[in-house]
Amino acid sequence: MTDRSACWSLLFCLALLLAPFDSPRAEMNRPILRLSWQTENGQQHQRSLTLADLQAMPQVSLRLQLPPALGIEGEYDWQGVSLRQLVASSGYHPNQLTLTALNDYSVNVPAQDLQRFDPLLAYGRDGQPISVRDKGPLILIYPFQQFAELNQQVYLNRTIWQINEIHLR
Amino acid sequence: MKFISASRSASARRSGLAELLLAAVFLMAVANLLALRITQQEMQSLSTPNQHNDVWHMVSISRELQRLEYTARHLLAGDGATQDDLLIRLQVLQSLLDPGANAPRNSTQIISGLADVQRTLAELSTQIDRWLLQLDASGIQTAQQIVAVNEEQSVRLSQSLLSVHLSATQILDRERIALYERFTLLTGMLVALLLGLVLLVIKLILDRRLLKRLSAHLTNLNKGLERRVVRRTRQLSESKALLMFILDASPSEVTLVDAETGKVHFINRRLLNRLGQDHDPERLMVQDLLVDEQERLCFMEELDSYGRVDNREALIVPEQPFWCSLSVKLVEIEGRLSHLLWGFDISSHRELLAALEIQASTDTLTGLYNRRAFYEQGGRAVESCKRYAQPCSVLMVDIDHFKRINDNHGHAVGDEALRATSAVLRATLRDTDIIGRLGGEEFAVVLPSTGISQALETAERLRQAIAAIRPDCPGLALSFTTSIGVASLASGGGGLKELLACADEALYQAKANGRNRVQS
Repeated sequence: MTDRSACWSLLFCLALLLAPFDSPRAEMNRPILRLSWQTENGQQHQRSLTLADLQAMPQVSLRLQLPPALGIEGEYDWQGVSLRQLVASSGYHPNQLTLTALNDYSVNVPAQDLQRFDPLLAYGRDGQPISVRDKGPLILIYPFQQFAELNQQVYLNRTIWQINEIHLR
Repeated sequence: MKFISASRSASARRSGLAELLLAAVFLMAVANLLALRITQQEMQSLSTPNQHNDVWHMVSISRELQRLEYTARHLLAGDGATQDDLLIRLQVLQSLLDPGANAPRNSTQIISGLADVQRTLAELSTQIDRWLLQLDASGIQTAQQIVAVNEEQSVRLSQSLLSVHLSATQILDRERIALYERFTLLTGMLVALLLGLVLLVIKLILDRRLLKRLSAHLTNLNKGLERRVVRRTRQLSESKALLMFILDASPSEVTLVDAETGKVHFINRRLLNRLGQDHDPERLMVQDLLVDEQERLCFMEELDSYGRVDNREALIVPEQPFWCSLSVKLVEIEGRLSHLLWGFDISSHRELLAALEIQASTDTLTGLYNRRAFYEQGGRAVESCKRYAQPCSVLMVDIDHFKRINDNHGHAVGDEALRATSAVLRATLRDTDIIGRLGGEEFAVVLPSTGISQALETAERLRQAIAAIRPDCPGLALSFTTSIGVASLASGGGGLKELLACADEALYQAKANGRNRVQS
């Protein structure tokens, strides 16, 4: 346990040095995502992650144009972490994830989606953090242009914004 | 005739049906294109998900407003809610009402068409902006305001939600109706296409039946034709064989040869036999058949000039010559000039003719020229002598007292005397001399190239020789004498007749002078 926290602090320091965002430190340290799961013996696990925590993980970039139904025109660069990697870092193998937004919108994402499409948990757009007003801080983005079968309402519904909680089932 | 007109009207009907079908197929193609266009448009609009999220949007705003009030109440009550929580709620609400320019958002096409709802939402947005500005200064005051206006805002939002719901259902129904109309149109087109297809299938089946009937008819016709061809071929070969038989059996020589190469197209048995060959020769030229060189040239010249030679008598087949009446015609066989030759054997005619000629010019008793032949031959000889300025003489020989011989010893003895005299004449005279019996006991001789003195000598020799004749008559010692008149061709004077007249004059003199003498 000490090893892991030491590791996280080291990553955190590195992320601070490399951080591309000039956000106030307080913002960076405020938890924005709660990751929770329950192991088979009934033990509850919960982790709070700050933006800095996420930025400390390997960054994934995705440039794409979102489907017209999402109301954004033009291509943007989205930065974030692979949801698959994030889930893997928990050490738990869920069948399904429940993502919940600040406005209590929530969707269930099957674990197969992570294997198949490897969606991006975006925390930045064009190098800038995403404000709550811009449907931040976290948006789940599927690689719509890589897979034609993503062009249906079920994946638009799963494109959830203002994520603040992920529960692994 | 009735059948023809019936079939004609049937074919006219069929062609009319075909044109109708063609037009139908054309219309079907146009309808198909139209249907394709409609389908494509629908596909385009259905290619991406485009749900109406307006109602959900309004519900979200309502709920968010309630949570805002809930949070504000908790803040005022001081049980757990912080100013940060209120900020988050305000931000979330504002992210719904007025998201950043490039933020993802709910599609709200229906709301954008409803001015009242838009105004309500815009006012709420302005209110939220104010509260956001106010929040840093005084959280409690902001919370109080939020609680104060909440009920009124909730009522207005509920009204907006209702109008959005109504509008959404109407719009969805309009879309439904539009889709229904499109599908109705498509159904109509598909039914028309189906009808066209059924017509085409019927036409195909009819055509197929017709084709089968035609094919059967054609097969029958072919069979009939084949039978006729076989029959005709047999008839032809039979008639050819018959023709060959006729040609082979005909008493003429027939051949058909190429004019240039001599290739034998046909040769009949008779000509083959004449040529002494068993089978058709490879090469046979018409000119090679002719025996005489001169005749060959004349013949070919005539053939080349007129394209035919008719009934020309010629001696043919050099190996075994015979007289033949030849007819040759230039004909075209397989695009090449050929000679068709018909020959008719006339050797027996020729022999008969020769015999007749001899008979006609010979005195039967003596074998000498008769009067007619003598005049002919003698006249020719005299003319020839005159032409070449040769002397020519004529003797008139008459047996003295011949009537007495006949009377005393009978005609047989007289005939014997005449035969003996003629034998002497022949024996004594030259081969070129022309001897004739003019009638009774009178003989005449033309001596070509003989002057008067030589003629007199000859006449004297004759007189003596005849006087020495003792005809071979059993039990009878007979002798007789002749008187001979001689005349010779005077320079420039007349012909045989005049000569004979002169000689006759001289003979008369000889008779008058006591007979058994030569007189000129």
